[in-house]
Amino acid sequence: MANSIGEEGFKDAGLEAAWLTPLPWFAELTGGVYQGIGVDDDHPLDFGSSRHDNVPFLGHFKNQFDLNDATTLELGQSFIQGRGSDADLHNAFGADLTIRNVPLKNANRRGWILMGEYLQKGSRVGGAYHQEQHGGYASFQVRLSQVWWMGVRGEQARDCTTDFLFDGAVPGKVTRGSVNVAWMPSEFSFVRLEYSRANADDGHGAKPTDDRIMAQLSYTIGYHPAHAY
Amino acid sequence: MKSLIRSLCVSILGLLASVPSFADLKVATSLSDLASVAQFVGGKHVTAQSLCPGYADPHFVPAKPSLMNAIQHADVFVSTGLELDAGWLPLVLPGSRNPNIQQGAKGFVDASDGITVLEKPTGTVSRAEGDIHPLGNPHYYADPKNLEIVASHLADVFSRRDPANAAEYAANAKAFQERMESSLAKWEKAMAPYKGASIVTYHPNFVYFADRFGLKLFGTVEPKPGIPPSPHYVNELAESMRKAGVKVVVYQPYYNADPNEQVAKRAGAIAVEVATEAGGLPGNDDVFAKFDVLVSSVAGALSGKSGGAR
Ligand SMILES: [Zn+2]
Repeated sequence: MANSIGEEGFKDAGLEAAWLTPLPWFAELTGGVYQGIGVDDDHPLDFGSSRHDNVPFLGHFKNQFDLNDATTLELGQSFIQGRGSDADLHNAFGADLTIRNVPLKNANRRGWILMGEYLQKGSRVGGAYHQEQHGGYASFQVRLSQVWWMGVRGEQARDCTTDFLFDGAVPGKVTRGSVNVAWMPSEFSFVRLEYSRANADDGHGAKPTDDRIMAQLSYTIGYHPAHAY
Repeated sequence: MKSLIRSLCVSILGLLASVPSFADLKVATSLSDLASVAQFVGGKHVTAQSLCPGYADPHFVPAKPSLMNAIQHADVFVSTGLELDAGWLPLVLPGSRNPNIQQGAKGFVDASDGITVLEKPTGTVSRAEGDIHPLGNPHYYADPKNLEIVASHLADVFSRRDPANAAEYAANAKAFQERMESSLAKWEKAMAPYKGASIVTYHPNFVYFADRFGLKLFGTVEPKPGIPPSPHYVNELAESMRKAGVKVVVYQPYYNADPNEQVAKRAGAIAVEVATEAGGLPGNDDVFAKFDVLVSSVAGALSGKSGGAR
């Protein structure tokens, strides 16, 4: 999502601590406080208030269960809040679900990943909560062989003004679907091709569409990286 | 809500209470063979568990959070070393939040210490050579003698972590070595008729086995480590095997059987699924059974009589 609210948008000076709870499954609680920063391209959330009590914070709860030898279920919830340049409280919350299958005997040849995420931004002005942009995506990736992956993805963002399809003034709805295929000839390189189509609706009769083809090429040199799960 | 919180607290307390007594060492390893050796050496004072089952590829273990959970309370972690687990262990160890077993901590063991490493690359390693092991070939556990070295190394480590039982660890390691020596004599006898015979393997993980039992490695089904073969390469390899009279292709259960079968078929050879890790196939649960099955499969295939385990 072009306007997604990720933790990535918020990696500035701050303190973060993660605690692996003693629960019998993997349950990790992360909390952090950060320096307030105004909205820009890298920071989609406005926490730019200069009030001395503005200490934006983040909480993330990640749970992961083994459904069987090969399949895991991951559930996460995130919440961040801070004061914006307008001195109002701004917040965002997200919930994500991932089901991942990596058959142990064929760990580098087979498998699939089903992912979904919902995000909502809002603010609190004078005690009342205002929902701002919200949206989500769902995707399915499947590994066909050691070198081939393919996938589909659908996403929708509502009340969104930052996507390219709008000139910034009128919030509307953007729906995008995409298919992709990736070729990974070695551990160190991949080529990925994606076709996507989007429909937008500003609620006032404007319904532009957008088609994109994206090619991505990656080559890693040097040390063998560890593979994130 | 209150009762939910209460039952959650009760279950957390229950978990804390179920942590085993301190006399026992909880050992985790990145390879099933190492867990097997650790269990022989530790005897009743140790519970050893491998994060990678024998039927899974030790190069590519999915770094699942449940693995981090599994080693959260481990006292000792035994890594294969030589970067065999470099693709996943650097995520799993820190993820466990267990300070005792982090690299450099007292509970972390590199099992390759003291092993004579084969195939150490000379000069710089280029990515053009595939997913090569830059510190040398890490599949040393295919030589029984190397597991004897691991056993005495682990006896030292366990004794330091649990001095009360040091004598027992030393005695167990000695018994392990004696049993390995007498087994080795038996395996060498079984392999003796095939000294100098050539085999093809999927991945270069038979180097130490070949070195021990006097086999020649003719080539690998993967053209470069970690790179699957093209049809052209399969043909070329089969053709050169045919010319040289190479009759056996071996591969582990976690590799794709198809290219091995294709190479063998075109070369007029046989492809045999064999396990180089304990637990890789039914009936080879520990390191002794592993070599029993491995030696009889390879010897059987070389005799032309048997298709091995499959
Ligand atoms: Zn290897």
